[in-house]
Amino acid sequence: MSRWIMRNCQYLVGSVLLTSILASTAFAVQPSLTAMNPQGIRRGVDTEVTISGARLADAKELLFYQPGVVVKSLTPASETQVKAVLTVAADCKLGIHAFRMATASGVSNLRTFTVGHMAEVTEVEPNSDFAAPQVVAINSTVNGVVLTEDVDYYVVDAKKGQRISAELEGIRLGLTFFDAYVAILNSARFELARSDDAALLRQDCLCTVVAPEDGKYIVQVRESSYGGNSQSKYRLHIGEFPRPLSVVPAGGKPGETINAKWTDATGAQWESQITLPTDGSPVFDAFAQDERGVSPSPNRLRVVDLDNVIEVEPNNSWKEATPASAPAAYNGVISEPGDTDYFKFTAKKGQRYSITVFARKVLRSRLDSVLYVRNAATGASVGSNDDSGGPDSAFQFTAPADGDYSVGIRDHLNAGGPNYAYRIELAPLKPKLTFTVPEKVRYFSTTISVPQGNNVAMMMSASRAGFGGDLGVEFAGIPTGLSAGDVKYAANQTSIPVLFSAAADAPVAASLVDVVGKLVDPAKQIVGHLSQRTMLVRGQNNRDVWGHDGNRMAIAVTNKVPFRIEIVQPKVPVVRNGSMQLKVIAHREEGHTAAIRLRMLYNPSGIGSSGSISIPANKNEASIPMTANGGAVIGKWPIIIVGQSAVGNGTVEVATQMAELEVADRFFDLAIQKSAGELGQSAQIVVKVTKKIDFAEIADVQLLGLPANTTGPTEPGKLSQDSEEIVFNVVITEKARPGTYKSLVCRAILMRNGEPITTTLGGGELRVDKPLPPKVDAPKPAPKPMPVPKPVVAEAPKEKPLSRLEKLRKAREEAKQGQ
Amino acid sequence: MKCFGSPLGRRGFLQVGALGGLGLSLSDLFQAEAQAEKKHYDFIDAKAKSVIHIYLPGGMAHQESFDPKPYSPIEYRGEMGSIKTNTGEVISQTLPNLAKLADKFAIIRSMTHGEAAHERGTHNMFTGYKPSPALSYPSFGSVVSHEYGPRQNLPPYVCIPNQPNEFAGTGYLSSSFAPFSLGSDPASAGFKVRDLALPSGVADDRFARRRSALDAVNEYFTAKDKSDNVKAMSTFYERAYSLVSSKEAREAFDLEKEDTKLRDSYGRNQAGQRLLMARRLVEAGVRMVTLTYGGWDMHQNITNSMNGTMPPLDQALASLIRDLDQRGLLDSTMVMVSSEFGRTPKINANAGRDHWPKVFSVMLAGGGIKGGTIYGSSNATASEPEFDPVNPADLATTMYHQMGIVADKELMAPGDRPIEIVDGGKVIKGLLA
Repeated sequence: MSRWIMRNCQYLVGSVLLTSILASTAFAVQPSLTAMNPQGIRRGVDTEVTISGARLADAKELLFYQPGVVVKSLTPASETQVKAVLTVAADCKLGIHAFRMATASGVSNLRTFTVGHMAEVTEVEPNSDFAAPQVVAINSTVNGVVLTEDVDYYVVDAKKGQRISAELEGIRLGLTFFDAYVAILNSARFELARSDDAALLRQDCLCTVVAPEDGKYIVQVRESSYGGNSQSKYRLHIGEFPRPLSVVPAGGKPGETINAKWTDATGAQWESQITLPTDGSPVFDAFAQDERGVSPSPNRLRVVDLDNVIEVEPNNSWKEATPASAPAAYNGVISEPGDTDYFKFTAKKGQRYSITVFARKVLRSRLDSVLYVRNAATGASVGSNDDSGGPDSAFQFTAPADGDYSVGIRDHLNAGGPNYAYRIELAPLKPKLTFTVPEKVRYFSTTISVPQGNNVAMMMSASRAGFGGDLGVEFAGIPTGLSAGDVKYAANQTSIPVLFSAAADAPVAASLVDVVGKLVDPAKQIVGHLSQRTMLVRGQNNRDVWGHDGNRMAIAVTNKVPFRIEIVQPKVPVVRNGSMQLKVIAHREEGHTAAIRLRMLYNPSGIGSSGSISIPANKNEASIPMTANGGAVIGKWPIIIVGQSAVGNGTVEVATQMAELEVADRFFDLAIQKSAGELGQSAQIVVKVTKKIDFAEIADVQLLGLPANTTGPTEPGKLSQDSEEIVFNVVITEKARPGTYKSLVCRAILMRNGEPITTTLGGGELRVDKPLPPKVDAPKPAPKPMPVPKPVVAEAPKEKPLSRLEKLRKAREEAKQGQ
Repeated sequence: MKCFGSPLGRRGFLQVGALGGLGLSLSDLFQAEAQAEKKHYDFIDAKAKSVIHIYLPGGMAHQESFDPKPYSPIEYRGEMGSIKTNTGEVISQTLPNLAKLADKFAIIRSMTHGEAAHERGTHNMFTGYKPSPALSYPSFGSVVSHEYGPRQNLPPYVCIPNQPNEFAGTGYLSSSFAPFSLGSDPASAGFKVRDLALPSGVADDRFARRRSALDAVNEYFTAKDKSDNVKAMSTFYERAYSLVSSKEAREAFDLEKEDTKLRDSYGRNQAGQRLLMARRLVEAGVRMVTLTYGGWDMHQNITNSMNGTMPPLDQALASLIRDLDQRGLLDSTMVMVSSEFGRTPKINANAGRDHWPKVFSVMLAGGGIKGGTIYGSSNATASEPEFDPVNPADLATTMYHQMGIVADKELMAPGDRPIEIVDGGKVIKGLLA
């Protein structure tokens, strides 16, 4: 066979294999995304991107968390690649955009890309020699990668006085823990600016210089400790754009136009007007803009209904505090090392304010705040706080008396500078409602993919702050044909199961759904939404280093799967100290034979259940053992069982219907009395019965946990509601092991509606004794003449050898006694 | 006046100082004195000629092995069922093969110590002592090696496949009592103990010439330097020579010499082949074999982990006991299965169990241990000892006692400190035949 034919035969075999793999993905499961290439897109143009991952062959659409990006075309190229053409509107918001991919089988993990406004350039190696850098035009965005010990150099031309900003997106691409470093050098290789971590950009970095003369300026990029790998990708924005680090005031009221004072890394300051949105979001991304460009990433502002107060220096002590009102937002900068800023407000006795500092969070300022509240007349401390769930401070203030109070702020290390901006919000306590969905798969934010005609379940938590009461939840924008039923939280519930059911004819579709929760009490208008954190980059010990905060969750209707599961509704309660076998049946379609792993979605309080039961392959039934401990919470609980089974090339998870589990108190108490018996004898074990709840049936009671080689009665004891005690005869054979056994338990089974109610109560003690020696008063044999006892030489007791320390102690004792 | 704290008076002390000039230094004197005052015991009748110490690193769950609680709620008892043994006792369903041999082994269900960290628990279970920053204690194997020395040209203390942790070493004893490590896993294909054979191309006479040349060089060093390491090194060489030059000794390490069926019955896996190697070694004359198997730190999904890890051990252990019994070696070989601690009474959020030193189980068989014994018990939720608690010192003392060593005997630690082999342990009489 010629080499050509061989090669092509291999190709043929390969393509046949590929086809069969694709064919077997008719029921492909959740897609997973690894990357989008390029990682960034320029706005106002169409860009073809390649999205890579796994199980993408049945890709249908992209779900974007923010508007402005339209999918012009989406073509699955293979199981692992999808080509897409994205149109980004000219006014699309710059910065990070999150998306997921929906396929006919599920919704992918979350990934991000960046929208930029400058020309896109690709890094061209070799560019690792300072003397031979890659030439780029100013105002461009370079897409590059830092490999191990790689240093990338770029050169731009600049005129004297021209601003050169270099901002790098590395960790913010969400690919890996990439700690980048950027420097701007002149042609003589003198460093003009360098940056490892910028407070504003976390592990990412930025430099700004004003060109001291006409010439070439070199931007250096590397990993901060000369590491790097193929995932250490970056987008380096080099341009004249303004790149402020802070803005004062850092917020305002919805719809308000504020006069913002910006400060950049060189200390340069300028002002511009910002109009804040009215979309209800408490945070606004403000992009600094002037005639030379737009900042590639935003400075974040607070949007809340509070008047702004801006500090007036000198306000370095409580005596010269900037006069302010309350409630209000106090804005300023800890402008130099050692600086402290004070504001003064008036409060009536008992008036309560929540005082919250925004510096590191939202603003990403360099300030690590320390907050003081003092009596403005005497300077006496009312309270203080350093950290509160992060470097920022917070304090719940209640006015001890009518009067003036001052709020002070400084840096924890008494540092300061033009970029140490802060915003202190002093506002009445407001009720707050937030929903979260715990991760089903560790480190992946939960999505819901419901196969047609099937169910999928999740737990959802509600966090109420400053109020209580029943809650109702709606899923706004849920795909057609999908329902979540009536989702309600009782006032004492924080976490409930939610069951999504898709109609058999529901169209395959996906959407990002807004979870809207409301207090049922119409007198108070309290509304909350979902907050979903997706970890994208994890640091040491899987610490959350970079991620995405979404306010909607992805929910989809997907292709039908060939199995469903169902709980057989129990007709009896499970009682405290009791157990139950919860029966689950599978409805399989022709051809589906794989085992289905089962587990309870959650265990009601005090209930334990096995998590390792499966409906075996080719079988349609299994029972999950479940126990209720003595403190199980009595009531009726909604329960759901989730089942996972292999379908196609992956695993699909579905859920049963929502069944009801009743937890009841036990009908009676059983107390096993202490008893004892000798080897070869029998013992009576008495069990005292105390009725707790009336019951008409007769229960069978078995004595279990008997020691080895002892046997109880073969017939169970009978127990009615009038029983006071049950007696068991236990035979202790000669082979039994003498000792005390506390392992005895009673298991009572009471049949009701054809199903058992099982109660297991323990604590019994049985002592197995060796028979006593013969009695002493038995007739003695006739006395024999006693031989004269020989004098016995008492053997000196063997002394335990002493350690040196023991000997020394002994010597001392002897010495003491000898005195 | 005499100082109560010292047997030497002030005058005596000065006299001792004067002796220094005559060649006897103060430290020599103390050393001699300490040596003379060491607690010493003669060997007692040894029931166990050898010990196979099977150590399960990570902390084996007692609930899923030797101490199930079948009637407690699921969150305590776990998802494993239990089975009856041939003696009528109940053990976990993970041990079906051992259940048929329960009359041959004993279980201690009330082992207890207070160390919930792996390394500290391991120290307890390898030395019988709590870890001390002041002194590094010798392991069981090194003590046995120190007390008895080699037998039939074989190292007295062997580790399979390697010394499992730092506490399985010599501690304060000379490094000549260190374990001999196989260096590779008996279960791997082409397994060979390293350095047992002469290098290729070196015949016996050439080896003898080389050896005498080395001796000449070594003599110079031993004369010049009296440090322990030099002495230890020559001990190593001596033992290595006797090992390499004895065919029988070398063959002890050759698993290929075993019957294929027997190898299969142990299981062709790590547990099986390590235990089989241990049997070969004790049969040939090794006094103490320490081997490890598996990773038992099951913080997550304990049911699956147990189902994966336990069956090979159950099979191998049952085969080992049967094999030793059939060869008439069980009476003279003690098998000890231990772990650094047990695991939490309650299943955690990740369906696993965490560290729990308060109560756990140890299995012992042979070497004068009364088969079928269940010693001590834990309470209803396997969280504390209910009866007859056993601490690591008791366990160690009992093990040494069966080997003929009185554990109260003192060995000399650096600084001329006589230290008991085990401090304050009691022989557990209830375990002995």
